[in-house]
Amino acid sequence: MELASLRAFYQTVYYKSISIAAKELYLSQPAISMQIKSLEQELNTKLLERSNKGVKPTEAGNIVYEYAQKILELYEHMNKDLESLTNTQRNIFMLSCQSFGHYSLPCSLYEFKKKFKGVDFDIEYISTDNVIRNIEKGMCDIGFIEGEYANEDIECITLGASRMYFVANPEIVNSNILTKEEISRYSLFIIDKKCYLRQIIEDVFSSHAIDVHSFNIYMESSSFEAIKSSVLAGEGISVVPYLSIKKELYNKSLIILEVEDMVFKYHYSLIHSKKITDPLKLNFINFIKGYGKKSFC
Amino acid sequence: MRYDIDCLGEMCPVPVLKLKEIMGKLKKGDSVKLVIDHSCVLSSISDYLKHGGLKVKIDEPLNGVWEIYIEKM
Repeated sequence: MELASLRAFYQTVYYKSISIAAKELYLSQPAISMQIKSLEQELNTKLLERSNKGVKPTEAGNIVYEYAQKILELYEHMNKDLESLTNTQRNIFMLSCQSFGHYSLPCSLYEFKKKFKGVDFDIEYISTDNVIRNIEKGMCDIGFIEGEYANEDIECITLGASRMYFVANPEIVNSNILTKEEISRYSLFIIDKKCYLRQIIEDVFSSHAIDVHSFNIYMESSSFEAIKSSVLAGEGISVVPYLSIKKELYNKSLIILEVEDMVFKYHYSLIHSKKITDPLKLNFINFIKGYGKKSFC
Repeated sequence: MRYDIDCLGEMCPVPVLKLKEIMGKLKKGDSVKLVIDHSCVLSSISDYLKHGGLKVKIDEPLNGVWEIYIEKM
């Protein structure tokens, strides 16, 4: 199969238009049509419905589209890895959940770069679930997650534990020790369900017989920084990772609320594919295992 | 003269660079208060401060936040 025809098909479905795909790929429209036709012949099935409104993938076309995306992405990663072989500038691509990636990871990356000159990091911040899914699919080899996860293809190295706390702007609370009933009177800002930490919060709530929905949930957000700014403005309370609020605690613009014996504890881990052979990536994993553990701030 | 450097939320090597800039201006009797919240900054700064002629005191007022007081003797 020609990668070019797969790419032509992928771009056409992506933009829902042969003419835009042609522009993107610097090809003529007939050339794109030819490539798609040859792909259809080779796979022996119709992939696109053409109408006056544009193009739409058939059922078979949808399947091919999903695989095309993976094949093209893998091809790109292969090229990147090859490039870094001949280049003195090496690149490590990895995925990270936000709570860890934004606050703890940068220091150890800096330390690693001091030891291994010419290494660059390419980090994508996504939810823990998606980090795991992408590593399972082989889209990436190294990821940082909240919690722990391992299977026959994935190795898990637990790096440490951290906590989340109830926080508020000190001006909106009378005391930093509150009961469950008192806490539910405040509006709650909470991380959205895609984040693993949301599960931890809900588990602790339910073990204390609190229903998240009994709160007036003011906002669900995928970003702790967004939640923090609302809480700083005194609009309500939230449960956030300690790592994300050190500055605000020091400035006393936020305080920790102790609510009975509720403790939000979680682990964070490095997960990686067991198939890694690239020595630089193995070095990186070993570095994190040893020195890195100490240097997570 | 007392200098305050707030490096909360800043990662290596920013705090060390900021500190170096101020240290260049420091005269005898001057002092610096530096606040950081990354442990690796603590280790890189301790290395940097090993030069003589300085009195250094480190406090940890909050878990994971350090105040570093430096006085030029």
